[in-house]
Amino acid sequence: MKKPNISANQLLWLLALFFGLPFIALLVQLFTPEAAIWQHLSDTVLPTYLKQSILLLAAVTLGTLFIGVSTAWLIATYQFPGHRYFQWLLILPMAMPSYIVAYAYTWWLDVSGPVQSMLRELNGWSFGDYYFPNIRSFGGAVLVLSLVLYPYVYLLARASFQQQSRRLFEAHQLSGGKHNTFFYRIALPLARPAIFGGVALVMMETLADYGTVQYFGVNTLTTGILKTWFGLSSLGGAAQIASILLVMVILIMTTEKIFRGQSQFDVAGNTANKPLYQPLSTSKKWLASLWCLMIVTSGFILPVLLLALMSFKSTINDWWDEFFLVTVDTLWVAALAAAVTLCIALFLMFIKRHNDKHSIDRLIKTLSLGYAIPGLVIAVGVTIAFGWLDQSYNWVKLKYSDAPATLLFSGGFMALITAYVIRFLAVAMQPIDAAYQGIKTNLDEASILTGHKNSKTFYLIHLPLIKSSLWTAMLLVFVDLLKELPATLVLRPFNFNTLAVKAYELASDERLADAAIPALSIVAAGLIPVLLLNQRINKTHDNNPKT
Amino acid sequence: MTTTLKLNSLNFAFGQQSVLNNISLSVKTGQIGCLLGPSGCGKSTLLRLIAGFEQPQSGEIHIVNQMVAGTNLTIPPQNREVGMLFQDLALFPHLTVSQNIAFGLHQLNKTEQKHRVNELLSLCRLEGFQARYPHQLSGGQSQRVALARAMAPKPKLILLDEPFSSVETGLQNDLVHEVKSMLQADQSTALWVTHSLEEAFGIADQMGVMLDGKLLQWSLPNELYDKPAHPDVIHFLKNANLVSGTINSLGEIETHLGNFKLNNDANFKVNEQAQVGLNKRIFHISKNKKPNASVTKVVYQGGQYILSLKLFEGDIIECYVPNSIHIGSNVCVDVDEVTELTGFPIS
Repeated sequence: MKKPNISANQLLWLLALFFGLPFIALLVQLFTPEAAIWQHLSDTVLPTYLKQSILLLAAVTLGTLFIGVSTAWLIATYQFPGHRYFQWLLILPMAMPSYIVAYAYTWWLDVSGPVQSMLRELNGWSFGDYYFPNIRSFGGAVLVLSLVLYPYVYLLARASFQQQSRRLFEAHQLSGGKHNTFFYRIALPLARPAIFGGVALVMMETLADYGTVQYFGVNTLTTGILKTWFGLSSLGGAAQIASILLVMVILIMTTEKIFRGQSQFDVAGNTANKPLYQPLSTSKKWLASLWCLMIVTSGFILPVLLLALMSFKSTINDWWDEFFLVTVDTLWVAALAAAVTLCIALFLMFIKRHNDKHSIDRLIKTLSLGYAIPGLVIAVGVTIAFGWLDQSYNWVKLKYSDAPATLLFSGGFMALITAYVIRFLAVAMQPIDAAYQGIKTNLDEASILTGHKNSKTFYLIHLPLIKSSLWTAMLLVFVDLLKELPATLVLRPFNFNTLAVKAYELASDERLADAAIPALSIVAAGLIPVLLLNQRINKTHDNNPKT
Repeated sequence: MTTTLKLNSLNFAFGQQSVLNNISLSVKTGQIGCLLGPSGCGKSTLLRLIAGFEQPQSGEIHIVNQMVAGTNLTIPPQNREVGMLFQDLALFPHLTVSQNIAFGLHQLNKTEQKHRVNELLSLCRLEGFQARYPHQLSGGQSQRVALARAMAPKPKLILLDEPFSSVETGLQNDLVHEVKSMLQADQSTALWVTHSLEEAFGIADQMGVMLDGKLLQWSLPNELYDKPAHPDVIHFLKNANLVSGTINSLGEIETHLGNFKLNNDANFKVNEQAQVGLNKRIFHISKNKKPNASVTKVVYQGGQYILSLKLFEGDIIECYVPNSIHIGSNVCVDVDEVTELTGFPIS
């Protein structure tokens, strides 16, 4: 049933305008630079920011590629001790916000941490007697980001490897190909689009990272934005840097799209066939296990253990009340923002269902691009845009009354929640879209024939059938919100803290042991959607292609 | 008898692709009309036009003396009072059998709803299943629920889109008659779409053959056999052989199997080439006569053989014989006396 709903479409355009305003603001700033600031930035720090960002991007890309593809290939092709468990254990680092992993490793490896203390005690050294690599460095940032972000590559590469038909391997063997050339000559080229999709996600996350690079003292574009904004008190300058970051993200997205468009291989083959694992010698089996164990340990198990150890040393007993308050604040803001995001996502998907206009489809797709944009960029855009809105609001208000100017838009939670919605709308849209596609249009038609309107059909048919997906969407957004750091940091109202911000503040105050407690809470919550996600991927790719 | 559905010269296209071409037909109140045609001929699209999910480019649709689609006029599907039995049934998976049936009864109050649901449960032999969900039903039961849901609001017209395509072959015959009797018991008017000959002849009061978006004939079922209006109807029904010949001055067609009187001889000139459809049942093999055909194929089919023959003069025909004949042997094929034949120009 295709029937354009005019008033709903108008509402959609209005929403799009509202959420597009921050980006319009950034564009305006980009083309009307404050000359002095721009000159200063480009003469001094900007080249460093840009260089560090690009170097970090390259290093993390290589790191995640190596870890992600190697583990995915091992899991998809061979069976080795612990194979069943590694399959999902390897995803768990996704639950860890990178800045939290950074805190854990710093606590462990720093001069005053357990490792160096033990070394000194065992060998009778004192500080300065020995060389120990500093974790709070560029290298440390690469290591931590690679360990946390590789699951994006792993997941997509694994799915692609597992979908490749075994017939391909047999054909390769029959044409005289050697066992060890199959990976380079066939499997890897076929999985390339999927792997590149994962890499694109890694790149966006790397560019968006603020917590890790800031803590490790790496001067990237994101740290540059905050330094310019609050250090130099120049929002205009921050907007300039944010625009550069935005351009980089758009470049990555476009490249990914072009790349994927050119090479869409149909590797699915017969998805019903069971994976036939290739043989592996006993010693190599153990090597495979060891490699996977190493990755899981350093990306997840060790940081969690360290956080647990740290929390024993914390002074939490002195600030239980505050922790409790922060937790409550975090939960209600995350719940509110998740609910708003969900409602908007649902509205968009409802429009999409009843629309056959290309422009509307495009618009909805565009609205879902926010997931790729760094939180800090969104925050800068929202701040400028809401500044404009407040100015115009107060200008109008002044004409009618003498009341003092108020910050209607940028004062309270509105800016924060708007930024959250822009960033996480796609996360909510995806499961709802999938659920909607599962409802045949016949059902709508059957309902409409009995005289029900679209809205009534939504209430009677769609809503009950997509209910569980709505919960999934809500949960996914909720957990992402708990983890979000940079946008919350700059947009939160005065004196308002979330667990992520609290952990960040405590870590910045060198109270790492105390930071472990909010950090652990975030990790615990973050595990839920990762496990959900794994369950769904297992269902569709591994055992049960029909569901 | 009043007319429930009337289509006047409907045309419909998806973009440049013409899907329906000048379709006209009518279904009388209380009767079942049936559209027979291969998949992709446009018959499902026609149902979607009647339901209101698609708009015709030109032509008119009337339902019980009310125009629902025509030039500058479209009544939305919600207001057409048409019920539909979808190919995949489209039962609401989250509602029970009685909730599914009651779905369209929002105009009635609770007691009336309950009464109508019970009426349909018993009519469609679904008593005892009212609390079940669609996934707990067998194929035939789901079918009856879908039918009950379509009939429940007493729509002016029920559209059935290949309703048995998902049912096992063995069960289809029983279901066809069951559904027909249910529709008749509720005095429903229906337009039924199918690609199965057996199904169509089992239910239809009025019937038509559709090919490539054109309705070739719309008539009583027996007339499709007896008075086919187009050679493609014969091709589709596979009940007759097309034999070519020449028109003589008596208005007969002269073929190599004999001369036949045509009921439409006025349409032809003398000495014009033409063809005529001859029912396969009137062909038989005569022994000890001069051969006029050779056997090209023999297929055994339950108690009899279907023989493919190539007439020495060119036409290929099929006939039924009790005993097998070697492929390649030459035989003499004869036809019984027939009347009321329609001739077709050679295309």
